Amino acid sequence: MKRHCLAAAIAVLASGGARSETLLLGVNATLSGGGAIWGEGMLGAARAMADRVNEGGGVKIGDKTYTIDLKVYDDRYRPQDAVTAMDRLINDDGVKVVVGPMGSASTVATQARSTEAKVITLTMGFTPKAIGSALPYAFRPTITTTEFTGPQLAWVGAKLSPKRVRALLPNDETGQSVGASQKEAYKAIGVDLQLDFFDRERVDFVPVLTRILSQSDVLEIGGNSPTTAGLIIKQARELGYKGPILVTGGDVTAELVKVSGKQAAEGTYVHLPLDSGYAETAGYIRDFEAKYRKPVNGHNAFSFAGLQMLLEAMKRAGSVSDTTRIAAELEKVSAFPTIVGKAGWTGRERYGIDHQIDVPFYIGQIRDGVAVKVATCSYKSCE
Amino acid sequence: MRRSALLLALAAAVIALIPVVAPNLFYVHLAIVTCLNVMFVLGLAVIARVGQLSMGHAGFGLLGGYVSALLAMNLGLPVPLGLLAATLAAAATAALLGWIILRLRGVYFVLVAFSFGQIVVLLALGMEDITQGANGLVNVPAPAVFGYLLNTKTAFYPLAVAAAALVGTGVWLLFRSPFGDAMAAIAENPRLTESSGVDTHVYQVVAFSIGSGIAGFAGALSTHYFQFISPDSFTFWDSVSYLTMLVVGGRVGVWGPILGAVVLTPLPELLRSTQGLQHVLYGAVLILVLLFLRDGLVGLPARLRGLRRTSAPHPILEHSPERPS
Repeated sequence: MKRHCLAAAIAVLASGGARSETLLLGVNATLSGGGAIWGEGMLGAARAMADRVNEGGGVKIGDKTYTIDLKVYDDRYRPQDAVTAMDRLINDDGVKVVVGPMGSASTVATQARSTEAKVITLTMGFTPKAIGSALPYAFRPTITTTEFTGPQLAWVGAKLSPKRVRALLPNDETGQSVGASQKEAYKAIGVDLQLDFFDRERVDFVPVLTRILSQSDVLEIGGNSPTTAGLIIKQARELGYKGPILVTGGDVTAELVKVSGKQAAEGTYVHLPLDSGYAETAGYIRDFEAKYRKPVNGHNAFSFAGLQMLLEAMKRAGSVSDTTRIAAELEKVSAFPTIVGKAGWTGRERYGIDHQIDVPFYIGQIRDGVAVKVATCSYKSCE
Repeated sequence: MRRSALLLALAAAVIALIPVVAPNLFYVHLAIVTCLNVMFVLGLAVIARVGQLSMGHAGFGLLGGYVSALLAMNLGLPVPLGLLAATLAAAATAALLGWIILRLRGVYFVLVAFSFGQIVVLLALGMEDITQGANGLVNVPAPAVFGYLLNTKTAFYPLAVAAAALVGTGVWLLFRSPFGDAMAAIAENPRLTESSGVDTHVYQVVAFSIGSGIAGFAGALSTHYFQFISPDSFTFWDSVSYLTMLVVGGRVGVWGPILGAVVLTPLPELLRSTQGLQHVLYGAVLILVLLFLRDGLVGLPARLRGLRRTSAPHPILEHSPERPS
């Protein structure tokens, strides 16, 4: 009797193993603390893709059909934790594809391990060091300050003709990286941008605003979290500042308006990574928010677009594990329809490798609490 | 004595076998991080021995990490010399700082030490030309021993164990010495100790320097293991973690800090896939230990023995004819 039971159990296990193929997808992002809003976006994208594939019966790659299983780890916005999470994904879980890392320092800290293990990463790190010719498995499916600041400021410069611009930025990896890009981009339009850094936890900006607002005709606050940007706008308007405010970075509008109020935010120019008028984008946002009861931010939409491109590359490579072939196919994906528009890869000139997503982006102006598209941009110019 | 030796031999065997029996390299990584944390917590224990609490402990780790990484990357200095320089730099900084601030006690010292940790982070952020700012230093060289590069987990693991054992033995010898006794006396009653002829200020400065030097060494070793350092590598929250490990393990002696690091380093890994629960777990463990185990986990056996003794029926009363039925 015992022998029969054992045989039956083995048969069930064997047949089960043959039927279900699983594609493991790792998520290494910040899920607690300050950067959690962005990490939650990345996790949301991975969940949405897994649910979409699994509810549709799986994705056919080669001659097998795969369902997606997620392995999710929090890096607590610390590079050492990101390394531990990456180590666990690679060595303990055997993951070959990771959504993340999120922060610039985490991205740089984990590169040696992911490259050595030939693990494909879809990073959201804004640092120029996030992708490069020595990193054949690292892709960046989001538009960074380096890409959008130049064309956006050229457009804004032509429109506003600023002479004196002051920027307020957090004194951390994001602030420093964004500040360097902004300084370069403003220099290109003939403006010597003055940078003022503050502690990320700061909430009272009245002293610093009192000092700098009299010395500037445009206030630049790109690179701040939506909450901080909203606080700065609110306090600047309360101090009587009536000049233009630019937020050249991140998808910040909804949270920003919540903090600053519609009236204070009116007229603010914002970077608009998503065009909610584009049918695919609007459909994704609507479905996601209805199903998961959470808002879609830039990290969410671009991570999802990156996964769409990755699955296409896996189909073309006919494999979920041969990451060298998958990376080669992923590089070739061009004008591919994603939820953020037709996407491909660029970046060889700047980074030495075409691993930077190439999609249109936009300039918006906040009107009655909503960002309205006022220009469409490519990496060359905005019109 | 024989029981202690047996336990020690058993622990050594388990430690030696980790790379062989670990299911995969992630567990070796975890063991290395545990060794690094053991050193940090032992450093903190040395400072706690004189009754002080350093909330800038991670700042010394950051200082040591940058010193060793920059010496190796810019001057090509061999990693062992970099580790030595990091230890000395952290110890010397602590001596200078301690000479001034160790006249403060309690919350005042905690605040100044906290401020020091923040200043180191801000300096690392601000001195971009040297430290690469927030992006940090990448490709920090791995250590080499007799020409053999320790750039894999299995190769680095023996070095991490040896370093932790060296620090552990050093701290154990220190605590057993007359100097260690004087340190404990200062924590107990500084005025009485001073009246016995002990220069309490000098002792405190020395203890602060040794503890911070150990943090500098551990920070440097960690940097060469991760081959990366940024201002976010050692922050105030790391100081809080080391303190939690010390309190949970036990503040007195050497085994408490070791036990705290060994238990609390892998424990959050169980909850890494959850959002924020790791912090809740840390807080809950800390509160429970403070409430029920004032001596930390290391005091658990003694406490259990005490409970058994009080709950066991008294042999005389049990058979006493006066015992009420």
